[in-house]
Amino acid sequence: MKKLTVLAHSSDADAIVRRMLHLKCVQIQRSMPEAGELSLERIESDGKQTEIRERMAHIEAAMPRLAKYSTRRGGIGRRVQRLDRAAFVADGRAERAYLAVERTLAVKSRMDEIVAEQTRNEAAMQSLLPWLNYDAPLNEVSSAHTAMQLGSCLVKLYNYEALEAAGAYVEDVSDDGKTQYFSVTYHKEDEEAVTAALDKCAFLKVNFSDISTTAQAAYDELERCQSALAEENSALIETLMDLSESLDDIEVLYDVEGTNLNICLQKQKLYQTQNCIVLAGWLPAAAEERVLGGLSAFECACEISEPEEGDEVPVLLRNNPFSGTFEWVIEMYSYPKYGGFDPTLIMSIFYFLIFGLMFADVGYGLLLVLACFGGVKLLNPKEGLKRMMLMFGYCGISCMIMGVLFGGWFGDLPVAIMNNFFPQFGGQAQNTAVGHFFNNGVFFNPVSSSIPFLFVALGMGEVHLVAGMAVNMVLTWKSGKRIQALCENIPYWVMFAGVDLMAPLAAAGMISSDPLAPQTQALLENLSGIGMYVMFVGIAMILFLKGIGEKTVFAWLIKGLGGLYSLISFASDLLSYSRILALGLVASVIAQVINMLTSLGASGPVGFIFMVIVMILGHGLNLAINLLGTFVHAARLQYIEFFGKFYEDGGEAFKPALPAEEYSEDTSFVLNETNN
Amino acid sequence: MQVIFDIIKNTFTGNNLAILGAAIAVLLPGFGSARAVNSVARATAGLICEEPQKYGKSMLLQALPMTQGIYGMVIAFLIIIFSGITAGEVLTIEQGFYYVFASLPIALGGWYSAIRQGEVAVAGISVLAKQPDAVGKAVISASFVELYAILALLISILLVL
Repeated sequence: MKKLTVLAHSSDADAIVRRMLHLKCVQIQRSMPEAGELSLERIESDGKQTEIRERMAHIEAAMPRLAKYSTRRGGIGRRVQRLDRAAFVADGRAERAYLAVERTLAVKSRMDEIVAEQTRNEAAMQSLLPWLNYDAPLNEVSSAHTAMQLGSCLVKLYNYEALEAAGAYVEDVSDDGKTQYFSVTYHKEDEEAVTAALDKCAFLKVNFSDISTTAQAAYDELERCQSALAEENSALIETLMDLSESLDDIEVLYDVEGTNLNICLQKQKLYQTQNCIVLAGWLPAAAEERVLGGLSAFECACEISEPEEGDEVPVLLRNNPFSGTFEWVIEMYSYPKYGGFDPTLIMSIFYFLIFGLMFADVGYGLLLVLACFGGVKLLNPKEGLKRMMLMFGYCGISCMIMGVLFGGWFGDLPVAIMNNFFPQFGGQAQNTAVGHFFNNGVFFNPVSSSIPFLFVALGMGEVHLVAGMAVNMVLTWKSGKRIQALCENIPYWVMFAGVDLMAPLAAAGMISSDPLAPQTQALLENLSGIGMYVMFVGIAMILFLKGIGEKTVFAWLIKGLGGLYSLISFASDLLSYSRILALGLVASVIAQVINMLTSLGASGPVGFIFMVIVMILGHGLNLAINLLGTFVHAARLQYIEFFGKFYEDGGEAFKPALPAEEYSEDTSFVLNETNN
Repeated sequence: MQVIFDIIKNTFTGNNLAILGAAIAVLLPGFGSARAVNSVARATAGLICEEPQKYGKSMLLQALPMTQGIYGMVIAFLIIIFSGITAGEVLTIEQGFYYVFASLPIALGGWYSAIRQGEVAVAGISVLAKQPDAVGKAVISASFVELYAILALLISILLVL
């Protein structure tokens, strides 16, 4: 990393920040440069930012509406557009796109109004329906001496006679079986009696004072209105369809505005005097020339220097294409300290191996490979997702290799098929040479030989832990503490070597109860005997060498005893690798159970369809469950057991300022640079 | 008295005990998973009232505590197949009890870990509400609880096979 300081004219501020964004390799930092006698102040945000945000909000609101009516090919897998954004803005396409956005919003708000109006009209039409037979204007309800009311009551409470008796003239208009609609006309003198009679019926008065025509005429008018609105709506939809043709441009405009917003935000990290701005930031050492080239177009003073002590330098990991895809696993934990050891390469190798052991199955591995590599090819995902998919793709390869070694093909699917569909095997396909290979792989099957697989898991753990210690030794050696580097690690390795020599005899006893051939037995016993001595030598070395360099005998002894005590944590670290066995076994047993379920209904065409459905669902589910578990636990073994041996974390990731590229890539600066 | 004795004798056969083992294996983790998924789903309902677009991300958290139920089903199935009761095999009472005990690790381990995993997943839903970018880490935290269900499942598998 190198430190960048740029001093430039205030008028160039926007252009310089824009150039930094497009270089994609400068992290602009908010740090007060040494000002000397200059009076520096921060650049405050201006009204421009609010304006850009508003425009972006408009575009965001318009896009889904246009996408709904667009005839463009579906979203997944669509490649991002590559175009020259400067030209896009200069030739007026940007302005036209924004006009389209504003028209879309106007259309959208008119469409919302239409929906509201239609709902209102619909309600009004519903309320008019019972009165269509009533042939007087609806608002003529009273005269000098008479009063009239329109309304309804429940049929069961309707009492025509009582109303007539009270002096009212009642005219039935309609009834829908439940409710009776009617008009009552009466002398104003009789109002009290009529009201009392109406109250008894639980009369509900309706008010049509704003309708001066008959119900039928008002209803027809509303119907005309509705069809006019519907016509207008379809015209608006057509407008939207036309507008949706500029959706591509609108998406580019969104990125243009997004980039402008980023420029505003990054500009706030700068400092200014009256006429100048100061930009401070970080760039990778390899990008020095590019940045200088990018700045050469401006009148500015620029300095690129080595970081000083006390600087908080961001960290950029640099790895080969394979290991690089594992960087996000490191990022999830914590970045290494600046200048510290980048564990990605060595971690990626172990992650690859451990993932495969935990999920040793050719079938699932192949699915992963197809889904991940195929997905990257077809869907063209963004950088972060692409790396993750590639990583799982590589892990899929590891699963396939381990699957061949330990006999996993969607569990025991080949043997299950041979037994169920090929009667010539008589249900004993696992005893044929082919069946035996599919079931046991090159070595053995973890399900039937779980103890040997446990030893494989622990062996993997030992290699992993020793590798961690080796990294620790190299790092300590390089830091100048050579004796400490040797004394802290070699004694443990001697002890491990002793244990490893003793292991075969113990393992042979655990794996099989049959007696071994006498010669092998003797060899293993001899190895075990030597191993015991080596182990004791190792323990003694830990006790006496661990504390070397301590000033007093007491401290030396205490450190040595502490070293012995730490064997407990080694043991617990090592046993932690038994999760490889747990996850590996669970994945293959569940796969076998799915295969058993599958074979239950395997007769006739219906049975065959049932079998296929169960197989796809079951194996899909098993893949999903175990993929997550394997990913998490393979990562945990790195974070806790492996990194615990050497890793110094605490770095901040290098995050360069970037242009917005959600829908499109800007080629204008790429072209400029090549021209330069 | 003899009648009652006969009923008990005929009920507690080896085969019925193996069925009891399968039933325990599928029921208890199923209870745990159901309860856990229920509480995560309720938390999600609160979230999607405000932000329905986060439903997709919440699905993984909802699905996590479902696995214990599946693990229980796996053991129940293994017991049914390997005990041979569907193939007409007659088990002794001791053999029947063997399957009951073999089902206990996943029954209890699955039940308890499902509920506890559900609690972490509910907490993950509130992470999703406040810090949607960190939801991956919440999923990872929740899947750590799963390890104990896997270990229980492993032991049950080894005992049944």
